[in-house]
Amino acid sequence: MHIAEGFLPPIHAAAWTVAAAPFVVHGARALTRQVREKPEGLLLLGAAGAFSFVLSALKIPSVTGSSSHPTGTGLGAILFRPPVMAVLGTITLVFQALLLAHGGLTTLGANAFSMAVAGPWAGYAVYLLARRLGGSLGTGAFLGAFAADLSTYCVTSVQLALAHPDPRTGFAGALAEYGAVFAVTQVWLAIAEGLLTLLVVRLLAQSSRAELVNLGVDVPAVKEAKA
Amino acid sequence: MKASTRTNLLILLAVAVVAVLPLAIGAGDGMEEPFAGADAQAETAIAENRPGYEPWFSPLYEPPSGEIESGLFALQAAVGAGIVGYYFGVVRTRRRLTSAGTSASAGTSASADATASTGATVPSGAAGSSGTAGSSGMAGSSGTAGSSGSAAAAEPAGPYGSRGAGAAPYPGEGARGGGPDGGTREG
Repeated sequence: MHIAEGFLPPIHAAAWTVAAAPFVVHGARALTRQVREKPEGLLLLGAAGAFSFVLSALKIPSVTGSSSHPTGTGLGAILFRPPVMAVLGTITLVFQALLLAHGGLTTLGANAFSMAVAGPWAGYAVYLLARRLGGSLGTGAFLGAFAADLSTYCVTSVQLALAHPDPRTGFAGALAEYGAVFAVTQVWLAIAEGLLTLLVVRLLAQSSRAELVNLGVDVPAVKEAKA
Repeated sequence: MKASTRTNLLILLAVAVVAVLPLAIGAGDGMEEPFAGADAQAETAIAENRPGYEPWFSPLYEPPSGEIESGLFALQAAVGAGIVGYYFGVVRTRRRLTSAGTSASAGTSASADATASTGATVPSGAAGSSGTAGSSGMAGSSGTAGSSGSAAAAEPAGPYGSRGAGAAPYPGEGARGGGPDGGTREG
């Protein structure tokens, strides 16, 4: 659930756009390089972007009694590194802003910063940490996707608290309010996204081991699945 | 059922449980608007903190009704799921044809010489292609693999078969990009 159109004051909207833009531009370069150097990975790249497309269209109920949607950016961040995901996530956001009145153009910068920049980086960092500590590919994928999903909405809460602080309790009070709306709801959904990402990574390790290794993903040698 | 398949199904089941549990335990009971979107709740919270705040920009296009909106969301999910499914279909077919293609080309090149053909098929069998590959060299007893790409292509799921069959002559590599021509095709 992104920040709705017009709900960030112009100064904030502009500031977040300026903050997100370098990541997206850098990501576009990384994406072009990726496609040029490893054209055989194009199909998987499309699938990773499509995964984010599916998940951000699915509104899922949470135990908090509200509903929201996952982001699906963790998978792409793990496979293709966060810069590439900055572009793919932004594409998803533009689609939703233009056709679904979900999110918005004035809030695109802020939403891109949370979903396409902060989320993928957080997810990738957690994934790397989990692997470094000896976690399996599946464990890393689950935790990475969980972190990417949840951190996205934590950043959204911060963005709203900065723009619309509570008149009495200020930034901290507002952060608690928006955090209760977004982040707590999202914990439950992040579990769902972590499980789905785990599933896809398992299927990929089975069916596309060579592609994953080619992307630099450390895949354990699995027994050849019977084709 | 294979152990990994069972694990995958269990994961899928767990996702379903996660999605359904909030509804089953009635997490939204007693709420004004159960399971409303978190973004709508945030808008309410903003209105409380900033009573006078008016959104200063409105969406260029807004779906005229909930039905249209849900249709567009379904479209988004369908496009995404279609691409993901296409990927796994391509990979699956590619793997099948790669194993079938290796043995088929081995079979045709060495069909004149029975000893050579058995010699040629051994490595492909060891490389993990299934049992049918081993029998491909024997012209008479050939199974699906021995009767060349076309028969093998007809067996795995439909529309990708024809494209994949063209890729079969490059053994060991993928159909798209991964083959000998893929590396040079630039720009």
